[in-house]
Amino acid sequence: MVDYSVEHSEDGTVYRLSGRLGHSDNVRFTSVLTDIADGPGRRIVVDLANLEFMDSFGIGLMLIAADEARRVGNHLNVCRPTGAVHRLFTWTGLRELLADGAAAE
Amino acid sequence: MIRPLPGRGVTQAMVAAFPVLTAKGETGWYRISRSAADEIEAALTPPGRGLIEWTPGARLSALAAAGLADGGLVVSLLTGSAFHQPLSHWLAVAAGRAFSLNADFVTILDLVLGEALANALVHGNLGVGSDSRRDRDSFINYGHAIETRLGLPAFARRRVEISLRAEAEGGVNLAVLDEGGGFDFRRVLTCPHTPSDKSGRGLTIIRQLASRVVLAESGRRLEVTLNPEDAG
Repeated sequence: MVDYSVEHSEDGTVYRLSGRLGHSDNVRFTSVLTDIADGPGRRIVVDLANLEFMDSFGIGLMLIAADEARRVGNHLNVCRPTGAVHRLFTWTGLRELLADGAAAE
Repeated sequence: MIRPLPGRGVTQAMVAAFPVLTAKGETGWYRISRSAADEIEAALTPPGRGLIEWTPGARLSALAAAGLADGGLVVSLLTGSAFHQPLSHWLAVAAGRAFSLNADFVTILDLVLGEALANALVHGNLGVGSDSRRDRDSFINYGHAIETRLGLPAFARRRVEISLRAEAEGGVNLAVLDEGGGFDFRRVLTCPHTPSDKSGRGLTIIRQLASRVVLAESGRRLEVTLNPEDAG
């Protein structure tokens, strides 16, 4: 099950995900999507550095989140995936979704 | 109650390899407690080779029985019991231990099992289509549809069975069976996808990572062979 913390600042909002993001997290992520769609003009970062696992459901979720942010004029960055999560972005041809196209150090 | 069950092709010796499990603090027929989740994980720790959630008339498939006889792992649970558990992780770790797989192989196995299980549980047994996941509102509706069906015994009591066994030269064969309505997998396999698709790429990922993928029984049975080079 995925867990996340939220950090609000003048620069925007950072979501730090940890654990496993999979098909059973649909309800848990609803409030995040609702918040991301609150705009315009906010900078939102989804930090995946501590996320251990993500499947195609999570990929779809990141794409929906990016669309929602764009729709209301927010800017969303997905960043710092590691290990298997980073490889999933590569396998699915979605590395361009990442803010810097690279994994966390 | 979760307990081992002899079935067609399953000998008492095989059953003896299953720890006896009782779900403590069970909250319903198909909603298992955290303590039961701990017991499922424990059932996949040696000498455990898996478990079957008992319901009247429950049987292992011939495929799972053969796998068990061959030193494999088997888990058979009702959808409501399986849905919120990290089953793919538990099974991948157990397979890594039982079949001496390296960490990269376990990671790939975890992902492939996760995608196969999501398809079997969500689209198969719960009958919720992935094409309803396009934007925030449809995503929320998708979540509600899943939770609603998990509350309906006709869906939540459908069974999912996962079996794994070691193949020659370090490979692993996995099979996932569901009790859903099946799907037109030939159409799905030939349907073009774009990187921006929000859903429907689970099977694509499996085919990308596996050496062999077989869909049968109208899509209710998925068999996958992974080889060590697939994890490279």
